[in-house]
Amino acid sequence: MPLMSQSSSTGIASSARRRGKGGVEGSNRKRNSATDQWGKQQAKANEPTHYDGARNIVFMIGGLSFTELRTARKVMQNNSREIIMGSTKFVSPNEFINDLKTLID
Amino acid sequence: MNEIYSEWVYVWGLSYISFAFVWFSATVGAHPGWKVLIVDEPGMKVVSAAVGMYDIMEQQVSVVEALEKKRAPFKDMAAIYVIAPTGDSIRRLLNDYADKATVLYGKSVFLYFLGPIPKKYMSELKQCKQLVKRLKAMAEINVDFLIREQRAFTLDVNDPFVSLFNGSGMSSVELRTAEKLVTLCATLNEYPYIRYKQSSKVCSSLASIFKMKMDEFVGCNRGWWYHGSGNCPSGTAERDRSTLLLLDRSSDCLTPLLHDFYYQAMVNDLLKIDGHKITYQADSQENPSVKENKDVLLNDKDKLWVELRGEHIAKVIEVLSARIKDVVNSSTSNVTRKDKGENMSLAQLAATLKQLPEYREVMSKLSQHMHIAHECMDKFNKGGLLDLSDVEQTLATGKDEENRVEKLSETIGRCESALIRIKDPTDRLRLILIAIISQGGLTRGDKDRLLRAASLGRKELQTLESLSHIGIKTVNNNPGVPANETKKGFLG
Repeated sequence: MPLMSQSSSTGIASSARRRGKGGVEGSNRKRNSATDQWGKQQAKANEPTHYDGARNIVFMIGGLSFTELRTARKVMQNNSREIIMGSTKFVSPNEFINDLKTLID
Repeated sequence: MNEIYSEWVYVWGLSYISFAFVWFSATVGAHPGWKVLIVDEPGMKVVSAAVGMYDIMEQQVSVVEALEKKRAPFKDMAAIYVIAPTGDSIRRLLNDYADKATVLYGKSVFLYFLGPIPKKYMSELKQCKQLVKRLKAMAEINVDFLIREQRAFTLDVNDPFVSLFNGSGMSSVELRTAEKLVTLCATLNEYPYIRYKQSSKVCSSLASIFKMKMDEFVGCNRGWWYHGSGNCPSGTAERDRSTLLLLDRSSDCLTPLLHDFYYQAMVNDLLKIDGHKITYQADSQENPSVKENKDVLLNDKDKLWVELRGEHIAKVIEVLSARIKDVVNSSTSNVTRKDKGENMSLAQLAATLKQLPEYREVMSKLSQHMHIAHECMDKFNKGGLLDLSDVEQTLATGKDEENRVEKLSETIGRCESALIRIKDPTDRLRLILIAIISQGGLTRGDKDRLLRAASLGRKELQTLESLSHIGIKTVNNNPGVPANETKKGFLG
């Protein structure tokens, strides 16, 4: 059964490297605009998937980052196992730094 | 009560729809007439995380009141209470029905408690004549958690960070966390295997408290079933028993600090966001030269957000641009067809008109996200985040952009120049934290070098020294240990 790997930070490191972040141009795809329904494009990406098998409930004590949430979603897609993520709260980097500041005695 | 809503929850995960339909329609919705909903603070958070005002009104609830405030009478309306089973809230509830003359509401009362009611309060409730007379339903709904997304939840426990890592064992925070987790499992019909890192004191302690509370719950609720028990009611597919994995933040403090350029992470990192709400400046519709504030809710109800939140910002902008182009082309093509002298048939005209409101909605969503995405990129460019994230990634992985191993001394040098460039002291602290945590501590020399470049304030310096409370060393004679190697146990 897939467990949340501790090496998630390395995984993110390689995927966060992206060249050409600036200056994005529109795509060159040809579309038959007359028949395209804008609503339909979005709908097909959001079809609810049904997951079989045992659920994994992940609870992080101390705060969960959005990066980890995203990684869990990816693991869910790749392994078709449902993962429910939770924590005491979701932290942005600055909130986490504030949390670390509370450690001062 | 539990059976009805568990079925819905199974199908939709933790989605909004399940809760709206379940609580209200099962008992309350069947009751005719308008109702008042009274919530205490925890109840308010749970309800607003699960359903929107519109869903509530659909179930004939016309007013939502706060339990703590002095309330107006609605003698012809039924009352629904959604409250936490705490002493304060129950006392206030009993106060509402202490005296026949001062009862504010009508002949029917529905009581819903967020968790199990302690026995001592049960007897008090039973003795309240005015309440018992009117009671139509009472249930422990076991929903003491807040839904954030379809598969993400939070527990409303007040700032446990320091208390969790002070190593005091069975603290009240841990107890409450465990109880809330039990309600989550109760709702999901799960009686999970519990897995945690043995060397983590916090996890071991929470795991044993949770097990104790969960066993207690299963023992008290004979009618409740769980996945993997073989007792699934007909109609729901059988699943294996789930696993609850308990993780400790102190085992990975690097991930929440790194800059991430995927849409959701980036928005929460760089922009001012309040829960799910984000405000941005847009041209007002009436007068394009005037800017006005627009609020956007980025939650599961926004389909475009759900689709794009896990994508890289570059892809987000690409997708949005392409879609906007399509929308514009598709609408103008209808116009140009007319200009060319072709007569638009009635059917074509009707089709175009039908698409107009849809067009406006779709366009508005697309442009909202475009605004937000551009604001992210704006902050990205202004903050020099391309170079900064390069340094961060090299610190975290030991390798540079071309996948070559980079010498630590070189990386520290780059780190130093980045620190001098950064204007915000919090961002400087962030980079130093990343450097220290990723390397498992730095040599005295390197650490002093970076501290000099960063010129941190006293509070920031104290923060660095306090990292030892969660097992992070700031000084290490042998730095460069990769971040993903397991560290030795914390707090003993």
